Amino acid sequence: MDGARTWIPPVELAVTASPKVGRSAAAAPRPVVLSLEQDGEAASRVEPVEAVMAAGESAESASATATGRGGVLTGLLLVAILLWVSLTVQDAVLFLRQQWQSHLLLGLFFTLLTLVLSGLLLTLVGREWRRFRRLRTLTVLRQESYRVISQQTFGLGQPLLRRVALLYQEREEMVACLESFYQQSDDYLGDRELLLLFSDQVLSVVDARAYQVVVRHASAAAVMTAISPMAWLDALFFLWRNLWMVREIAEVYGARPGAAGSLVLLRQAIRGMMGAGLTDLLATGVAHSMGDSVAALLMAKTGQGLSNGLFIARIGLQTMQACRPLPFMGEAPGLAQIRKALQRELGNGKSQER
Amino acid sequence: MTDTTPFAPLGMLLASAQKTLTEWLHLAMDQTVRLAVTGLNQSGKTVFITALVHQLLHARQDSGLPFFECVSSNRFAGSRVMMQPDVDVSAFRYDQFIQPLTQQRPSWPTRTDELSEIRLAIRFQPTGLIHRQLSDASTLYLDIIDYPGEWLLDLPMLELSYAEWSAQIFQSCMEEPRRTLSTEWRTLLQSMEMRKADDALLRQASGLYTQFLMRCKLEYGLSLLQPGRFTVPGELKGTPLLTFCPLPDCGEESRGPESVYSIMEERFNAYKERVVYRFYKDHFSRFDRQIVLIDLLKALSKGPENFSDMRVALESILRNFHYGTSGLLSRLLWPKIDKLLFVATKVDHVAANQHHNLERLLNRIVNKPANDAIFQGVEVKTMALSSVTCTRTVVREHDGRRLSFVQGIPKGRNKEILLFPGEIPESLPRAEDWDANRFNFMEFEPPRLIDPEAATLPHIRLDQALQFLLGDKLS
Repeated sequence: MDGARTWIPPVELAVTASPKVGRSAAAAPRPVVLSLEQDGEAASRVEPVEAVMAAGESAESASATATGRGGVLTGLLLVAILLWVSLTVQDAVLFLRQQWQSHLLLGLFFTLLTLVLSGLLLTLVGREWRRFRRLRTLTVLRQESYRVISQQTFGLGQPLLRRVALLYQEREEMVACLESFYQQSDDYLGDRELLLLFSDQVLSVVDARAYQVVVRHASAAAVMTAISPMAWLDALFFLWRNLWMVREIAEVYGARPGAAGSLVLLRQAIRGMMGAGLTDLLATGVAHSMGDSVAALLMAKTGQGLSNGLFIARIGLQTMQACRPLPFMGEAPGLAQIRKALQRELGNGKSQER
Repeated sequence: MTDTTPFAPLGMLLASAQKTLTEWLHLAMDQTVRLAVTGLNQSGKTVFITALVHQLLHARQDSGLPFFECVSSNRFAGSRVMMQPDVDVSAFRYDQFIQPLTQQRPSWPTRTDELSEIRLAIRFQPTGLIHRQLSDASTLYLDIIDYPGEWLLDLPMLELSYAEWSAQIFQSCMEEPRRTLSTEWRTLLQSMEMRKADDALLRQASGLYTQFLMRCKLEYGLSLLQPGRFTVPGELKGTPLLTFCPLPDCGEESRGPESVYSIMEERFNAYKERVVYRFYKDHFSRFDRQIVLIDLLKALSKGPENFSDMRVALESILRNFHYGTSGLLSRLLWPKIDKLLFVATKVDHVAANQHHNLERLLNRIVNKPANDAIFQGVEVKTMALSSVTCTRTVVREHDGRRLSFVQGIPKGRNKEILLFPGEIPESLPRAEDWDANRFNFMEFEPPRLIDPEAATLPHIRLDQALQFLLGDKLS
């Protein structure tokens, strides 16, 4: 309006005698930003996930407050826990005082015991908390990559992928594909392209391993439920299977969730199945259940086993989505192969539990 | 042997039938792709095709084509240049074009102005269950057809009569810069005797018209120039087919059989039939995939008229595309274009962080024709690429600002410079914002390869273009 220039005028400069100037684009060393960071002491000394967390500290705390909207229920739970803890403490103190009063040795013995017990308890809670936070890191990374993808930015992708790579760089089988990724990631690539390339070249290896875990658990569950005669045993086994699988998948993706983390993941997966997975359920589920009912007619138990296996498989696939540091950008892994594997398994009639 | 027997004609007939049959079989088995490469006004077509062939001939898993799935997943089993299928089309001389690019002191290949063709055979491991059972390696024949973009501009003429076409041309001459450039030619027309045609005068009129078109092209970089063969005549140079020009409506009395008008009209119709329609029938209607190269940077530096001209040209060209999804039967009978790629070329002339804006700008320009094509079931994509990368991006502090420069050797010089050519706007600048000093895009010398024998030419997003154009055929 006021005639002020809103653009930057072109500039031409002579190339100053900088140390190394490549004569051509091909000869120029590709700026392998990620590998520089790998030698850093932070990466080599600190456990991988912690290093990632350190990098993503600020973002994490931001999103932690965002998720801290538990409402009345959380408040109630917190107060209840607080009440329980203070009651226990009070009880313990009263009990110890009684013991001290009755005899010196008794008091000493029980105090020691209490101290050891609470020490152990605190370590357990601390570890569980740390592991839970590690799991959050994956979510934070995924949220950030969502942003990078949708906003089509430039220059944010590499630092983000550097953090993701920290999760896997110590695995032997990942060294080659990480190396090839660094080699192929040209400096002209936009963030979205970089993430796509990483997803394709590096995470696909991790995905394949996670998928194997899902297939293994699903087929094992299908066979076991199919042959167990007791309903309650089935249910127990089913829950235990799920938790075990969720934990294994999270480990494949670079987190080591404790019991609490696994439960949260499981809840997330089931919620995912109810919400986002509903379309998937409708699309594949109708066809599958048609197939299932035929199978059920033929052999009731096998049909039930197949359904259970597929259910576990769905939870597994949802967990994969919840644990993957980048979102699936192409096609997310589907049920088709799992279904085939299950049918093969049931057809053979033998378990490959490992 | 067949030549000496009395059954020679029968043998030839059988041979040709067999050839046709094989071609049909290839078509039916989905093994041939005819890729048409075109561009408006020196958009780097020859270099693009040369680079594309070069990358395909040198493709290995680690050769820098990470987005070309067939290669990156190690299913690619080699490729080679084959004998071209059409004997009446000149060959695209890959060997001649790649040689200057890969020599010790590289230079750009000379530009071409004719229809040419090259066939590549690509061997790959198929992923499909049935295909994999049939053979471990399939072959895809890729025919790349290079033709001047100027010829495309003739296609809209097919729908117009001489009078309609003339009216359109005169209408466009009402606006600058055509108004000034066409003055000489229009003055001649006004003074011409219309009732009786004189060959010399006809030649003079068409000569001035050609001159006007050439000036539009060279001085202003305009794209919408009809007839296209006037600026790129090919083998038709000097023939009566190219000796006509639009005429103003001059009333019934001066349209006698001997009049200038009737002769011009006759030649216009002959041009339509013998040149445009033949090109359309023989080549254009047989394409499967189309890539349109656009030099956006040049248009951007030339100003708003150039931009709107280019947009109109693109729209009128794309209206003539024979789009549609190609099912098996229809592919046998009339292959159709089912994928269309718009490309902003020479993207290495700006820094990497500008590519996205360039792509957005391209999206805005091709929005309408792309929309039409999508409606007809064509898969459309836009991309900013560079067939051969001559620069690299360097970030430097300048006047208190961090700017992304490109570093390379400008054309005609022998020392590298750092150039900040101006920022690419996300949307079209308004005419009043279009300052002459806003952009300074430069052409660069080709990159000097350390080991020209073994190294592949650096590129930007050529692998993504390959994936879009051929990915589905190589699965």
